[in-house]
Amino acid sequence: MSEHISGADYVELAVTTNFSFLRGASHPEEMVVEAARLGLAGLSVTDRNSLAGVVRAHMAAKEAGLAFAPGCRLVFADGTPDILVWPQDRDAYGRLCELLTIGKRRAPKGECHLALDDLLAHGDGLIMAIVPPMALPLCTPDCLQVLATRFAGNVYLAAAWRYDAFDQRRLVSLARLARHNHLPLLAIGDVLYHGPQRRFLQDVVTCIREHLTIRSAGRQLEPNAERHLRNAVQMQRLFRDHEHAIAESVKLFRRLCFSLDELKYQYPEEPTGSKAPPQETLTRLTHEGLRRRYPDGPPQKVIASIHHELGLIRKLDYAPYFLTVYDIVRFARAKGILCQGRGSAANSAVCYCLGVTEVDPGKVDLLFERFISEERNEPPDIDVDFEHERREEVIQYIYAKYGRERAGLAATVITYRGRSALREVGKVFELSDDVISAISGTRWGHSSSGLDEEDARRAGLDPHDRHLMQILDMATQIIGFPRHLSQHVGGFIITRDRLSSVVPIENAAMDDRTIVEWDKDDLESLGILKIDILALGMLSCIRKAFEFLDRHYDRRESLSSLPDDADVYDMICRADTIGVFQIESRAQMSMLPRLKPRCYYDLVIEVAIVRPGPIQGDMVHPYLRRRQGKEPVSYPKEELKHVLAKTLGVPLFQEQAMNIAIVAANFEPGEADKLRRAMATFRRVGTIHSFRMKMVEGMVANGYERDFAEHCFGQIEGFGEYGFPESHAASFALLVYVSCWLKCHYPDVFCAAILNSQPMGFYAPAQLVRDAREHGVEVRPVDINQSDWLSALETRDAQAGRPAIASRHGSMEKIMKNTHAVRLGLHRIKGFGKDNAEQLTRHRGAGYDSVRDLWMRSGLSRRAVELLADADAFSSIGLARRDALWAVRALDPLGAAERLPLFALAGPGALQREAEVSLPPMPLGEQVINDYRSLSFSLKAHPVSFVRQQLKQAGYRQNADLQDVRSGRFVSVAGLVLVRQRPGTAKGVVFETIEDESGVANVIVWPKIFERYRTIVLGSRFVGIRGTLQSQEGVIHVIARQLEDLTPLLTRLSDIDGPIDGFARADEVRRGSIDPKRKKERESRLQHLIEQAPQTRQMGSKLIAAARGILPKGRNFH
Amino acid sequence: MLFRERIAGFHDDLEAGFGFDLVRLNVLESEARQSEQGDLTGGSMRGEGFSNLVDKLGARLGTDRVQRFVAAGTHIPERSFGLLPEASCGQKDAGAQAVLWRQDNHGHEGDGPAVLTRPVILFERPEQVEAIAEVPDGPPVRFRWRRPLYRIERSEGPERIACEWWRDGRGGYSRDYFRVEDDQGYRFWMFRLGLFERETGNPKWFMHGVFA
Repeated sequence: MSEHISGADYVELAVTTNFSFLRGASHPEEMVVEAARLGLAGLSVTDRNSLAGVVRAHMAAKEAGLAFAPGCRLVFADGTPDILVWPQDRDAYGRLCELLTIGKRRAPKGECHLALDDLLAHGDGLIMAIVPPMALPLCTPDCLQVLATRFAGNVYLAAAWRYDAFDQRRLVSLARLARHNHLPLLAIGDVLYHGPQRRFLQDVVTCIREHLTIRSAGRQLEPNAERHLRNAVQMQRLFRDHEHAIAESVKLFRRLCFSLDELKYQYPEEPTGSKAPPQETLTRLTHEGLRRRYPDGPPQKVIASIHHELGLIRKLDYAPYFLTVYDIVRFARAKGILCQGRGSAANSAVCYCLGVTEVDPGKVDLLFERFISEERNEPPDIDVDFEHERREEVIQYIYAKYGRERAGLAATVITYRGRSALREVGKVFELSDDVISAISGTRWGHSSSGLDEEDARRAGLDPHDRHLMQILDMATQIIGFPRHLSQHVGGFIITRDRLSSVVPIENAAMDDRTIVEWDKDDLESLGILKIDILALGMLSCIRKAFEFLDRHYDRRESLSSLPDDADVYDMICRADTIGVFQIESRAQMSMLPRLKPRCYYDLVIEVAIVRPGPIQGDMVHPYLRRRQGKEPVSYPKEELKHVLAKTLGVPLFQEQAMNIAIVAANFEPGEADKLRRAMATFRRVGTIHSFRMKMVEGMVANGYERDFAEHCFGQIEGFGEYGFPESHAASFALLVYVSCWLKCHYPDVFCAAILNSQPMGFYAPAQLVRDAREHGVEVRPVDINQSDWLSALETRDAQAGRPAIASRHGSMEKIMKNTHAVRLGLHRIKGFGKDNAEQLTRHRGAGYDSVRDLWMRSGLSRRAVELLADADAFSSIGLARRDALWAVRALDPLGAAERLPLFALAGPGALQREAEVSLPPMPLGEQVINDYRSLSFSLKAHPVSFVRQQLKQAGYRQNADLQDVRSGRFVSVAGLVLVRQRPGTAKGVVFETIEDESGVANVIVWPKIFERYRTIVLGSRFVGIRGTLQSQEGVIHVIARQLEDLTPLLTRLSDIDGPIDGFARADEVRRGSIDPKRKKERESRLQHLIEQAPQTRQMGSKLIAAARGILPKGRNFH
Repeated sequence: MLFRERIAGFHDDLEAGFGFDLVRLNVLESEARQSEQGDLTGGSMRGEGFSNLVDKLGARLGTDRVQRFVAAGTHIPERSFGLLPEASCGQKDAGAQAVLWRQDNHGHEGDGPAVLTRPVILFERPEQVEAIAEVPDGPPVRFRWRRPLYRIERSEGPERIACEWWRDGRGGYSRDYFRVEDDQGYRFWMFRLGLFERETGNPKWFMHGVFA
């Protein structure tokens, strides 16, 4: 035997990865790394009716220096045994894709229905191996003769050693069958995981797939851990009597000449319809744009960079790509859809001239080749944001122009996250639902970090229980495993050939949408053209604001026309940025007064700095210190000066981190990019460690301090989580500026526009309206005779003067130019549809004069009229909410005598009127609660103002007073919870924003306090906070020491019965089932309250539930 | 007829004195009895005799003590069957399980000669043997069991069965089962416990049954 071992080679040709969902138990990358470690001569990945995992394996194999060929395991619906296929060349690969596309398109989402005839039709050029059924005696598969005749020379018989009782007999039978039919016998491992240690996980995924528990699965599990990769020597030993089958694997593999790299550069030709070569067309269009952008002649700098960029584009042959993007943008512009490009290639002078982006290259110094490098040879990346309400038009345009054969959406691989992993694995181990939700309920959102003892302990379970540890370990291992493919938000692939010959296409969940099998990373790796057609709410808002400006202020503006304005930056520095783009979040707002942006580039930095990258790299504080002049600007070494000069020597952007790797640690440019990709995809494989060594040691060897090197690497790790490059920040910063400019000068326009673009952004309409009113904008209520579907601007009496401006915003008095009032639209009324609104406005004529008149003339249903009354929309005709509701009750939907033709002819006014009834007015508190119920905010008063007396007695002060309190003092504040945030970078700290009638307060809850008051932090809607005040550079925080759930107090405002829909629309923490402990706590709290306030005694727990339903739950963000 | 057995036993432990005035029968549970017509010769039908036997034995010994073998869903040989009271396992279920067992045993179906991969009767406890075998997973060449030495002429295997990790813990050893035949023609079923190198440096050998 030993003489055969030397020089033995083996290629594993049958590998099932976890992209055969819930069958394989290893990532493709893991398979490749292990195969390379075992010294295999090559590897193929053959997932079930899918090519979804081959790109990852291909990239990993390149990295590991392993020969790789893509393949597929065809599983048939007509009883044909499984057949492994590998394409010999590009054409055969195309046919394989077509074959899979046919099978997938005719099946429901996620399935593939194939018959032998499909293979006969598309199998030319494929090498195939029949995997006969396991059972003995071997019956000759029917397909064998057919295939052997049709594809003579390309058909093999596959044999695997299964470590069951029949291996020897089966091998002999197979060899005889092969000989008989003149087919070569091919040894395969039929691998399900890369190493035997994955058997446990494989058993678990089998159970998940078959909906079994691990104890009941029994013989449906594999009997042993043998379906792992083996090296040549091991295979040789198993096939000792059939060595030719081992040699056959190598011979077969040599016949596979196709590499996925051949798919590169599939740009569509002539996207603009011009006959000239793309490069010429691009040059012409660029120069036309140049004249348009710079009517007075372009600056020398811009001319130079255009010359340079066009040269680079010609060299890399990217012209068709730029033209494709240009064509899409041109379409959007023609339709009046606002859009803007961003991404590596977008911030070029060429794109500015083409109108893809509005960032003036003359103003900012963004170097093109920092984004597109020759060496990296990666495809240019342009994302185009469109108005979120009109993106569909653009998508339909692309489908219409290129057809479904050439355009399709990229996939997103949906993977197991903490919660879903625990739920599925818990079921396999027969955990009851309440235990599962107890463990996952204490986890914040859907994180992808592993599960540990802490999770168990929080749920009140013994973390040392062996069974439980087993579960948590399995759940942790399965995190990151793909579950299914879904539709990417907007990544379009456009190809020159048929798309279905490049990658298999399958049905998406949405009707009329098809997705390809690869996600954006896969496409990027292969250099396949992808354009992200994204939806951005702020663009809708800005377009609507420009329309208001045009109509009401006679000002025509565009993204690039607004002047640089010190007043706008003043406003930004005061962190008066509720509602604007990007810099409105809590973390951003507390950064603004410290960073004090004074120019456009400062905004670019501001957008990029509050991100995982700079935070994990500990780069934020050094930058702030240098900016504030507390620390001199210095460079770790002179060679980094050109990389870091713009950011005062501190690396903030992804591009800078990559450049440091190149300049300081001697990475090849291609290598640096691999590093970034490795962060995102290879995290589980363990190659990160070698990169870390290389980068840190490389930098130390080049004379850098180890500490700085470690920080740089930490930053790159952060970018892996959520990359944010300068090229995106630059485009975003423009929208930041435009939205700030609008808010600064025309708060009325901004308010109406943003209300009309909901849902978007960080804040709910209640806060947006409140903020506008604090800036002296009159907001008028919804009204049957005044409101349209959307909110609108109304002229105000010039004599009336501007409504009072909150003292905080006093400095804006002279700057704001608003002269109009905002009239809320009917769209703010919950449940009132657009059709209803159109019906109402169409028949309005000179106006409705009574509920009955409205009902008769508009033809609205009684329910719709009731919604109007609920929203208090009848006040212009003198009807209060209660009176209007009374009148609605009187409408008789069944009798409808008034609808008879005779009465209809009689016309309005001729009919007898019902006597008016005088009802006692509704108390203000009840009005406010009803407003909240119907509109989700109230213009009349803030709910907290009604309980101010009690709050005062309990020692709570108003939020607005906090400005006058010295830092370090003990304070108590209370308010409705607007936002809860627990960023992954903040190590478990929770940020809460609460609101009372005077303003908002920002609360920080440290992890220790959070653990103690967990249910209050996550559950209460009206919360009281006691803690110390921290004031630093104009940023005020309350550090919570004690929290109290005050929600029951608000039930006194109104006696509402029955549950009412929840409030905030984006609540990412779903509360698990109420555990007994929490319930008890709530009851005792109620007891406590009843003792304190005798007048609340009649209040039942029903009322508390109702109050919980009406008040905003608060929105949770990460 | 059924009660005769039961009542016959009463004399032993009851002092009835002058005899019984009243015997009350409480029916705690009742089932419909499907009667079928016999053939003309009055011979009992297939299966009838069996269930009569079960009833009769059950009445005398207690229904719990009349048991049948059922297949269990596991790869581990000594766990792959169980004993259940005949009365409580519906015959249909047991039958279905047995079929399932045969099918997914990767074994013989249809017309081919059946291969018996396991002995009909397993030892209560596998008995340790001293064996010499090729590493890592070769069959035993010779072994000593209950004193005598056996030389292996032919062998087939290994059939590898790993532990049930969710029950036995992940460290549990796998077994490599071999069917072996010695130079006298006796056939044994034995296994190596623990995979060489991957699980242990010193795997042990056990005899788990003999083929009749």
